Amino acid sequence: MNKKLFLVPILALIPLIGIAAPKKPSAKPPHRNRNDHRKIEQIATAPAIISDQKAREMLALHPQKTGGIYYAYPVVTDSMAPIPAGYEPVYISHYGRHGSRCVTRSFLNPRALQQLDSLSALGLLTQKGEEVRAIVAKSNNSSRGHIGELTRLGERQHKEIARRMMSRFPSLFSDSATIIARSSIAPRVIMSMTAFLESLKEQNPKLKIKRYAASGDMDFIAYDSEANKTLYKEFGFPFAPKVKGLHDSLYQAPKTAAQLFKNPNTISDLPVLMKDLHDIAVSLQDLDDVSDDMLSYFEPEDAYNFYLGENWSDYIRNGFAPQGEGAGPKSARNLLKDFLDRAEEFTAANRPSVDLRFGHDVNLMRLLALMGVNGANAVANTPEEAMAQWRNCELAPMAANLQITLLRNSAGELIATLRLNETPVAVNGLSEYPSQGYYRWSDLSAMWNSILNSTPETK
Amino acid sequence: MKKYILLSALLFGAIASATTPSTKASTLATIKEEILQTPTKTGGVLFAYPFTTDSLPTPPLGYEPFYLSHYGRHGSRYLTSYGNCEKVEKSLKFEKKLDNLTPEGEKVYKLIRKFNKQLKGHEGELTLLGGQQHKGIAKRMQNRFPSLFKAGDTIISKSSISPRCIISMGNFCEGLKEEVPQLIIQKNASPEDMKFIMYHTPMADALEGRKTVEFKRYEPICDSLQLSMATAAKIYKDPSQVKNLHKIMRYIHDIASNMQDLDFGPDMETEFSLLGLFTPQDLFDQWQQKNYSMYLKHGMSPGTNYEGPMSAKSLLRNIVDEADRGLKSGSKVNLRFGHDTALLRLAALMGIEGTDLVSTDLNEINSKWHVEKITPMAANLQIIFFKNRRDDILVTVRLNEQPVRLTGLSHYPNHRYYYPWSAVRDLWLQKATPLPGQPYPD
Repeated sequence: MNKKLFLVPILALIPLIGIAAPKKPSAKPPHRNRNDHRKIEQIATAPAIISDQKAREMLALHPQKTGGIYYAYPVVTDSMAPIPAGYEPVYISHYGRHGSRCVTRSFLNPRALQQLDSLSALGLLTQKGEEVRAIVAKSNNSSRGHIGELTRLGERQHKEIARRMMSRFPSLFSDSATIIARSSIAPRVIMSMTAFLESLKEQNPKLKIKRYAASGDMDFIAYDSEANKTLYKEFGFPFAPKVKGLHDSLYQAPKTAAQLFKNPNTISDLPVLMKDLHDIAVSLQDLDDVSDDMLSYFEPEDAYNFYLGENWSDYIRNGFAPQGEGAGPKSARNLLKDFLDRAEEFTAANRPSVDLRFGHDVNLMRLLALMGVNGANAVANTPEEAMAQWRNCELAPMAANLQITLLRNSAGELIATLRLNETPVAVNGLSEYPSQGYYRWSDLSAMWNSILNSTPETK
Repeated sequence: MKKYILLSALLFGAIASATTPSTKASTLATIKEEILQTPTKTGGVLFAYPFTTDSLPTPPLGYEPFYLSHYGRHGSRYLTSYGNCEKVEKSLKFEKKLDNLTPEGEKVYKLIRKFNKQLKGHEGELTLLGGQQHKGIAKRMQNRFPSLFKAGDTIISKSSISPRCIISMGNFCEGLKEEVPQLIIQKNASPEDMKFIMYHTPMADALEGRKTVEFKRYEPICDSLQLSMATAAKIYKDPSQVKNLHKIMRYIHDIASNMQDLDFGPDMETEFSLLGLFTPQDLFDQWQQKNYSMYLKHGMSPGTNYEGPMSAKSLLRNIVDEADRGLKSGSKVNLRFGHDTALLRLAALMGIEGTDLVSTDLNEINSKWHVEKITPMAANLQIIFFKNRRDDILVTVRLNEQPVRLTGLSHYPNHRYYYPWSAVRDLWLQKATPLPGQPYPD
């Protein structure tokens, strides 16, 4: 692996890229949901380096973000750097995470509810504690039998992203176009793809689509190396062996606990219960049928600490953390290769010009890091440093997506632009051309090929 | 209660055997002739969906469709087990080393290797053909019943969580969207729904894995039917040397039958037709084995305690419940996407003629009960509700888009494919009720 490429400290933020209005604003107003109030200001803030104070302020203002990968997709308007004169979009290569879903751990709600019920029976819950118990009961009802399932909100996220992609690049979705879509074999991902494609058909019923969900494609769509699995076992979940000490101290949530429980000191394993409750609180933003704001019961400082611990675990697994030795990003090798191979097929021959992929958060975060996307490939040594540079809520919220668009001019010159969550992002270590937000495709593909060549295949 | 099943099943079976739409003159000889005319049929559940048109008997005057309930099997797919195909390849490789392959056997080996290369990473996956089957069925459904699929209507669609079923649903819904882009489709693929979309009682599960005592009894006959000795003699210089020959030959026939479902099938077949290698008798016997074992596992089979159909109770109950809800709420369409086994069991439990045969006799079963007619790839059941101005409700049932009759029920005067819903509902509710102590999903 070419360490130089990745270990460049990203101290200077690439100036914010100019924002162009979509070419053809859609006639329909964008879909609104109850999370919309916090969405507008998200636009065009690609991952940036922020101070700890700023991070605390941001999370206090948007507690949903402390959900990390549970953060419901925040974008309702897309943006793109102004297209340089003479260029036309010719190809899109995409990777999309499934949309909002139910929790994946079936024990989460029942375990928390059981403990709250016992505390309630003993009269140890405060009024607020009882309120939280009622919300957890609703959450438990809602998720039973739906573990890991895509929610209606998740479907809408994908339908909207598809609609905006099509309004932005109408020429790539003409009657004669063929779209190729490949999904992970996880039901929520196939359902996301289904919603996405349905939305395309609504806009153009004549569109031809080939859709796949092949177990063999998991090798690139959702690859997990042995090293990834080891990292997960060591760091990847709450109180995992190598982060137990950190999580034990971060997940006490003393101020919140004091408001929910009459005598928090008597509760055995308080951090486990508090972490469960925070996990449930952040998961509600992804459901359609539970509208309670359980996050409001958490003190901002406590919520910050939950996010600090969770983000750190995710960073070690999926970013360039020294502890992870790059295992996360390296395992996105096959996926990066697929981006390059398909693009090459496109440039070499007259083939369909939209490649869609549907997968998972970890694979997207790893890909972004391996590609050298600004922020995603940050190197941090502490949870606080990671918080300053690498935040999973911005890299991989529900329905997170990467869109690489190739554009061509009459001289046949190809340029590329990258959008993460429909917002322009920069690639580190590469000069823009011919204007802000764009790269020569030859530069970009050469850089990525050299990354591939220096990244051994992992097993 | 077992008595009830046995009695009613026997009674219905007797009527079914006389009127089965699929078996006009059902002797084994005529069936053999029919099957051999279309060798791809010998694949049984691997038979690619054969219909490109639908039909509907004219409803009685004054009756209009207002609700439709559906269960569809996923479309054409790759074989689900790479392991079996790998065993064939290894076995052929081994025999080649021993110089036990004929020149034709060498060709088989080459083809199998090519097939396996294509199969790996795609086990159980829906093929593009499978997707097209669903789109076609959806479009014909919409064209046949346009009033049920109007712009702005909401329809409900539930899939098994198996990827090939969700992709089938995706194609089906895409077909509907092409016809009516403004249709609203609520799609689901929920673990919770597996309790009716694909439920197995523990005994049915064991039967599916050929593990029960009951099934073991039938194993010798199945083994002999799948031996294909005459065909094996074309592949091997000395077939008697081949270990587990009966299994290897069955797997080879599986592979041969699966070609029709694959997008790359025709290319491979022009090189060399694997199905064509089988002698007519061996082909027929392979079909017999496939058909017979599917009947034992999923048909109204007394020899296996009706375990298959008993597993379909929750699905039948769901169909009645959703119809009740739909009739009350004005909801027009319930779509379900699942599997062959569930549909075979459901059809038998519902009493669809030709699917609910009760028999223990191999010849009778293979004469009268035909798995490739009930559940080819993309098989589907459609129950369509009609009403008149007085709100009298009739239903008609279509299996694979063709009308079918219901055993043991009186049809509406002069319309032999239309039945009063009240009578159908009573019968189905009764059949869907679990016996005391019988497992049933919560």
